[in-house]
Amino acid sequence: MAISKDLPILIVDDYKTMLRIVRGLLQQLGFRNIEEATDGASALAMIKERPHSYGLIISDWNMQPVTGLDLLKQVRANAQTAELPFIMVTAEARTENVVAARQAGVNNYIIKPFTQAVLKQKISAVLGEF
Amino acid sequence: MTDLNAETLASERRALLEYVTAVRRALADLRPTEMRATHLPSAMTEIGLIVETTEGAANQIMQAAEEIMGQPLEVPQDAYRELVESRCLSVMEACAFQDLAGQRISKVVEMLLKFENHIGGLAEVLSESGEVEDAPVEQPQPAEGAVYLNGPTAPGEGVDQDEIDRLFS
Repeated sequence: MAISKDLPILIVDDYKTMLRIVRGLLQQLGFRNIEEATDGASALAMIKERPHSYGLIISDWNMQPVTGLDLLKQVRANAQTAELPFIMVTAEARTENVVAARQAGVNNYIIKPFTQAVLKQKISAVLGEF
Repeated sequence: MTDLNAETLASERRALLEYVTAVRRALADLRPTEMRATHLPSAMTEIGLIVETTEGAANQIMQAAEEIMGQPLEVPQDAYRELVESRCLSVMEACAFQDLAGQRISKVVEMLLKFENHIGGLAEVLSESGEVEDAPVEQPQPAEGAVYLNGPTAPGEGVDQDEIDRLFS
């Protein structure tokens, strides 16, 4: 089944430029329902407040004080959000980072810089074709 | 004390004084006060400005792209062309960041090279004595399950997207 372009997506990055880039790429892919958080703590607060409001989280890793990995672990630890699709988009390209994210339950992993085609491919891999 | 012992002692004392003087000279050459008060803050400022400049340029380029992509289909061709040309110019202007960032990076590199030379002088004096070795590097112990963040990897380091895709397939 094709995923809806109304899928609510939360993008998390402490670089506003990256938020803008990811938002722009998602909008070009047709997604209309995009929310932003500029750090892990804000994202966590938004998810805790409305645990059923998001269909996908796309998060950076390297943020302080709550990292993308911390955010992922918190999301997985909450029964209401344990199954929420989560894609890490990060410059952290060492094997141990990828393995740690995988063990924490990330659905897919994108290395910065990336193209719209890669983003589309990973979203499709996690949620299905669109 | 025999004359021979006194002579040896005096010679060792001279050698020690020479060593201490050389170390003090090498330390003075480092200009630690100036380094701390001027050079390091200046380098940090330059790096901060590089971040600021590149971010500003990226935003300017994206603004131009968004304006071009956001034009409705019914815009007359001449108006569309004028807008595209003006935004392309804006993109070209934004690319000046490379020059500015390059100059700032050169300043920081210059400062680091100077520092490296002074450190090299000090290391030479210390190693001549044959008694002073570098202190062992303290490796921070990661908390259980913690993964250190290292930022972007250099080309050839880390894994690429294809390898990650294989991990997730």
